[in-house]
Amino acid sequence: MRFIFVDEILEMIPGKSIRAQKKISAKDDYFRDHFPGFPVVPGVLQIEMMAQAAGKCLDAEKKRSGKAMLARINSANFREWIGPDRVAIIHAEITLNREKYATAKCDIEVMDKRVSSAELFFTFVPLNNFASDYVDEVLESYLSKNP
Amino acid sequence: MNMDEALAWIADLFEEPVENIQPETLREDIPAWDSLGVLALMASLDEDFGILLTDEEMQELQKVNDIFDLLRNNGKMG
Repeated sequence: MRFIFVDEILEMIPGKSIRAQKKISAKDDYFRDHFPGFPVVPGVLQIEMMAQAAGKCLDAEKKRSGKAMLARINSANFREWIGPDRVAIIHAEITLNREKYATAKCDIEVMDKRVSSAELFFTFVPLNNFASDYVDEVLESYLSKNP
Repeated sequence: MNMDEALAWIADLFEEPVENIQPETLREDIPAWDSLGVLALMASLDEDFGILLTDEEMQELQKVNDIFDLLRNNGKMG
C-alpha cells in the first residue's frame, strides 16, 4: 500500500494556502477492514490527507533545508462519514509559518459539504535524513506546471 | 489571563492534569516539555500571545513560573 493521500494539487500559494484532492476508490485497501459492510475512510487517514496537503504547501516554499512533518494534532473533528467513490477536496491555510515550526487550519469537503477539520502543528526534519533521490512527485508535478 | 487560566493553558499544552502544574513545577518534571514541547510552547506563545522568542530565550525557561513571568512582562497575565 502506498502512503500518498493527495492525488493532485488544484491550487496553491506556497507557504500560505493549498487546495488539493484525493479520489477515494472502493478498491482502497483499508475498506477491507474499515468496515465490512460499512466502508468509511478512517479519521487518521483524513488527518494524513490534511497533513500531506499542508506539508506540501510548506515544502513548496523551498526556503528551509527541512521537510515539513506532522508533529502534533492540536484539534480534529469528524462530522460526516466519507464512503468509497467520492472525491475529497482538502484545504489548508497556513496560520503560522516560522523557520522551525508552522501551524495550519485544514478541512476536507466532500460533495461541497465540510466533513472534517483539523488544526495541525509541523516541525521540519533536515533533508539529509531522507533518501537522496526522494522526490515529492505530486508537488513537483504541480510546480512544473505552475512555476 | 489569570493564574488559573494560565495553569490550565500550560496543562493543556503539555497534556498534564492541571493539578500536576504549579508555578514552581520544573521543566524536568513535565515529560512533554521535551524538544517537541519546546517548539509547541514556542508556537503557542507566538500564535496565542504574539510573543516571539529566540532559541536562547526558550532555553532560559526552566520552570512554569518562568513562562508566567514572560507573560506578565508582556502584559498577557495579571
